Amino acid sequence: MRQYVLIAALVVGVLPFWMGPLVAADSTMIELAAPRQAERGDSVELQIKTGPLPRGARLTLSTEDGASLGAVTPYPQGRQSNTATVPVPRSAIIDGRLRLRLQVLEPGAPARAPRPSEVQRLDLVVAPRSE
Amino acid sequence: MTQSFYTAMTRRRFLSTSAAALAANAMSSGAPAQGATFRRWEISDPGMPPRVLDSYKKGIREMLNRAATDPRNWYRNAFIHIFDCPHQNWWFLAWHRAYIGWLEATIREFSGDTQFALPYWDWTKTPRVPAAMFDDVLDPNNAAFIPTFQQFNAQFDAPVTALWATFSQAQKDVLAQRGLSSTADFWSAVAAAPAGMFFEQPAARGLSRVSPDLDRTTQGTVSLPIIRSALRTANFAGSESGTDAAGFASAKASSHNDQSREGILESQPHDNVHGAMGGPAGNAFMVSFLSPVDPIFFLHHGNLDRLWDVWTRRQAALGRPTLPQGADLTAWSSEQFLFFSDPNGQPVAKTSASDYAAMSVFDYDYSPGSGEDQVPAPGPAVAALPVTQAFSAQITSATIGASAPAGGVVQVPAAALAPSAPQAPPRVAEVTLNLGPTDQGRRFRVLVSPEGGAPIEAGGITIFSHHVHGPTTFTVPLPENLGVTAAGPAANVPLDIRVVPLEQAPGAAPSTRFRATATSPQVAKITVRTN
Repeated sequence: MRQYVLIAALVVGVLPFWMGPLVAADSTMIELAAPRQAERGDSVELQIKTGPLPRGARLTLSTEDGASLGAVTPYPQGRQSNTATVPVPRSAIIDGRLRLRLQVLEPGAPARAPRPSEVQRLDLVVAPRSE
Repeated sequence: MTQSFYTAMTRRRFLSTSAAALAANAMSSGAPAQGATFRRWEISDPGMPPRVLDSYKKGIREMLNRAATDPRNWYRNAFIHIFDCPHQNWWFLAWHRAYIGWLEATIREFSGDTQFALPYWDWTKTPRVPAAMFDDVLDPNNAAFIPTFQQFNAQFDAPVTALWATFSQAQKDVLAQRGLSSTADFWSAVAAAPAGMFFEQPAARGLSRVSPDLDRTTQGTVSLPIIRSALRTANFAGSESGTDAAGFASAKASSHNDQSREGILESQPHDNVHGAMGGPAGNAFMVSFLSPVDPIFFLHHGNLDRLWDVWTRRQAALGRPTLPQGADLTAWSSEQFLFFSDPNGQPVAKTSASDYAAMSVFDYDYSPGSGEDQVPAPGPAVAALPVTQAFSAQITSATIGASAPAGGVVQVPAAALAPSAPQAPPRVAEVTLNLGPTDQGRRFRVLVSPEGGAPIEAGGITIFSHHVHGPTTFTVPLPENLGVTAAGPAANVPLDIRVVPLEQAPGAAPSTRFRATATSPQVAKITVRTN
């Protein structure tokens, strides 16, 4: 039976730790390290556990150069916690690292970096894909 | 009574809930449906008979006109979603198959259209609300719907109290798990938005006939690469603990009222389309658990159900499991869904998740839609995928709208442009644009000219985020047949890729935003990704 491999699991409520020099006014950049390269036949997924987001808000995820990876829009609106999955192209992992931009978009407000309570956990998961 | 529905049902031998029988049934459904009685058409498919939408409207109107004490009342049907819908767990797909299937049967009954089947909305193909869904009672802002919470409460207060008195202990247990132990809890949840789920007109749906497009972020979440990623998920459901892929149907949980982890299908197209229906202000029934008040709910979930069928057939063709295995299958199969009603308004007999493992339960199939290419043709074992390759373009003109079309030329080996296997990753052009805030709402075409030939339209780019600036990459699938005639597979083929502004839609107000200006966006990078 194939084993699923957890590459990297980051962070429970320590978002400020990521910030420092990587902080932008309207987004947060984080870097996840991969202990090994995903092989042919593997898929890479990013699992994101979010806390409460303002009504109508969504968390967007993109690579450093702006390529969109996906978004977390809790359904129903107002859900207190959500664990979503976003596929990550293997090409987005460069030199064993995924540099990830996180941004919260909410109606009637400027885009902003997520607050610590809003992103509670990030896991990069490598799993065999169906092919 | 809809004779055709029950005739079809009695023709079929419904399987027991034994694990083996269930698995066999699901596998048999994996083959292309042969002779299903009902076909669910993609709403923009020219082949869809016009009567489909007429019957849907007629059935909705009849349900809206039913007394609030009737389980077949349109809002009463929406309450089932509040009472019982599973999300973030592995019953997400099966429960919604049941929910839309029973609604379809009721519409068939009320419309008198014995061939009726719900249409579906392929948002990958059409990332905007189909125009027909703004007609008549297909729009929840129509006058036939209840416009205010006050009127809604006045009509349903007593019927909800009466309904609560009829619940079995098992149903009450489910409701308690969901924080709905009393009618007071119910009305607290179903209050007027923003505190509750009821969105008063004209906010019953946020997207409108004049602004029907899904926002840019959501367009990305319904794009073909995301859908293909979901379809390539190897497992039906991941573990509850969360150290593996969440699975195609989302991860395991101990009951359908618990939350676990969402897979790609649920968290990307499902959640984001629900959210996008709120429009810029985020207001719509679709963002809440009262989402089935909006008739588009059933088209949205129809597409998710179709993708489950595509995944099932893909898995079967690859010799992989289509359902949970072993003890997991037993646990998944026996979960009880206790709130569905049939077209007579009576509780349904099929209450197990396993009853809804295969589409044969409602005897329908789907017209082909996005993602169908992920089902391998029958034949020998599929070869391993080639490695994905990326080729960068030399940008020869950066400013969009300038006299020279913006873009560049990328050299791609002819072998990388040869026809690919259905399971191969798509060939795409990734176009990175440096955008400014004034670019919001702009649209562009991406044109590809192979070997200096005539340009072929590869796709469009729409700038729809309400926050636009900086480099943003858009992925556009390359046409399958580029007509390449290079001398040999090793020879390089020059692909000239250009980004050109789209003219305004006819009738739109003039705007200087659509003219080339000093702030026109720049093409920063173009990458062709092949396999």
